[in-house]
Amino acid sequence: MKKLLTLLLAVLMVLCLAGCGQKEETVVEEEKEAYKVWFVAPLATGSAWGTCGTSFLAECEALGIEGKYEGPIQAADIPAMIDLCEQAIADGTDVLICNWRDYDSFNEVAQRAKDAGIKLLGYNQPLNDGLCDNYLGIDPSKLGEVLAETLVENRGAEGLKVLYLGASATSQSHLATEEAFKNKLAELAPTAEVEYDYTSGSADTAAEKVNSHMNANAANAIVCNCSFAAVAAAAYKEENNLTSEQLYVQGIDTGADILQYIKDGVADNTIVQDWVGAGKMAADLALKLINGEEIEIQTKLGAYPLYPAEVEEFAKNQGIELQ
Amino acid sequence: MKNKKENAILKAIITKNELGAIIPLAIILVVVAFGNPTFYQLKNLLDILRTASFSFYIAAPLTFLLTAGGMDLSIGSILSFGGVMYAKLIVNGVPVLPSVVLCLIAGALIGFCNGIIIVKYNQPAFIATLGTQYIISGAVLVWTGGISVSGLTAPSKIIGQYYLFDTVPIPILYAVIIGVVCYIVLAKSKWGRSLAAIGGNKETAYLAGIPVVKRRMLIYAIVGVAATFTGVIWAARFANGLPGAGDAVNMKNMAAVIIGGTSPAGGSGTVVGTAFGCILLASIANFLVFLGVPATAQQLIFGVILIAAIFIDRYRRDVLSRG
Repeated sequence: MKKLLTLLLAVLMVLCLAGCGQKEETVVEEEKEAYKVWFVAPLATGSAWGTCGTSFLAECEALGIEGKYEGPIQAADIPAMIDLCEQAIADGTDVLICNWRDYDSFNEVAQRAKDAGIKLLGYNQPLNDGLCDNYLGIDPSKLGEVLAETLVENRGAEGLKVLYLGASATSQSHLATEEAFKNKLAELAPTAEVEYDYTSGSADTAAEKVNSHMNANAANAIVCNCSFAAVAAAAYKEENNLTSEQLYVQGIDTGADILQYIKDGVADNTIVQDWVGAGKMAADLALKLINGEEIEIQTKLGAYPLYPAEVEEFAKNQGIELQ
Repeated sequence: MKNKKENAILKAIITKNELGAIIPLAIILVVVAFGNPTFYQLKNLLDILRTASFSFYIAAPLTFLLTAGGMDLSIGSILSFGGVMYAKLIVNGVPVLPSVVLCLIAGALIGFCNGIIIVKYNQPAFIATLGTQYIISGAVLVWTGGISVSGLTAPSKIIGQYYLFDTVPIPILYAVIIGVVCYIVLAKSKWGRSLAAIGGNKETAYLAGIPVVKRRMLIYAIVGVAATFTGVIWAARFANGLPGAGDAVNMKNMAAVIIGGTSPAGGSGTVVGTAFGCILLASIANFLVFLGVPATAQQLIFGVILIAAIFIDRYRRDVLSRG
């Protein structure tokens, strides 16, 4: 009986010690727990959003933040993006960065995140009602103006027949870009004929649209506001052995694919939206928000054209390998 | 006497499985002839056939699968995987032929895995292939970081960009070869007829001595090969391995097969009908652009034409069942 009691006490003691030890470990773990930052993008892949995500996650790692970069399978699937925001709240994120594509749809989930003490960062779009603590990205209207200015500067205003290919007919930021492009082009090239169409963020659709439009109403310039459209337009120009006088191709973003086409002399230029810088800045701003630092609310990222002469240097600086 | 002859002709037409795709296609061709005859320029027709070809590579073996009572929602992700794998192999210096062969082997293995899950472990195809779709898409994203793989060598692009006699895009030739082979196999061989028996009733087919398990698994593997082949040709054509290249193809290919007259419940299928289904879907988008339908209204009309196609097929089946 005594032996049994001694044994039981010994087991109890071992369990207590183990329990204390475990508690100590948990405390240490809690102390080490990193801040969480979720970034909900309209797409986690592609040369634009994929590049942004890679850069964001690398910067989070460098800053010791637990970064998560998520996006729906179908580009700009708003219900799926809202679901991801819900997950971010449930995961106890400290900062939620989101491309709030539709102000009304996202308002409710953003308000709940705010009530839960989560800092909100708007990417490319500020959320209305002053919910966002900060905002970074490219001003969609300024981007539209840059698209028009670059087109006229390089192709000239005379005899312009333009095919404008956007990614989405429903995204407010894309529509703002399109509207600004339309207005600026009307000012710079009043006689220009323009057709507008959308790729729905699909590479397959982009290729179909380029071919159909070019066969139906041969444009002499394609202006892209979708990276898939840029690749499809460049591929069309290459396949049909067209010169830049016959078809001017203005790409968007700095994916390896479009940069390669510029280097090869197929695409004429691309509009840089600095996705690498955007991902990095998103992580940096998130940490500043967590630390309670004062940050001026402003759009910091510019959009500018990148030409063949600059492309190799640009790619090298961005760590993009070209053949 | 005349009425009898007319009835016989009508019955001969009605019995054609392909009617659901042929009638809307014929209407489109007539409407566009009046609306914008430039639709009929050779280049545009070849572009439509090329677009349809990319769908047909997968849709043809998918006809086997649906005939045998199966389904596969992972084809889009296998397509993306195939394109990315091909681009990665080429960029890393592997010659074209071994790269293509390795991709096709990988596709067969993925398809075979689908087959094991669905056939061996008797899991529902819808959920199982939805699951593998996520796994493959996820693996591609992890592999590429969501960024496209560019820098394909000139020889590696030939298989997607070459023009026969400087006129016919080579993807059309592949579609013709695949179409002829699949037609002979499904319509003229004992093996093909056994698929209809399996799709009609698996138990009866088994009792009739058909190796149901082996045959079903083989079809999944063939679909996997077809999907990676499509990805390879896609990557060669656009000089890129895009992680999201196949995002929009699942439903489109499935729709092409069903509109073409293959029963979604299994038991009957037609490769010729599938070919018409693919041409119909490729034509609709093109025809809407030629008629100058605004981009915002295109989806609406696309949907209406699809619904009309399935109603025509339904009417045909009703007439047949009434004798």
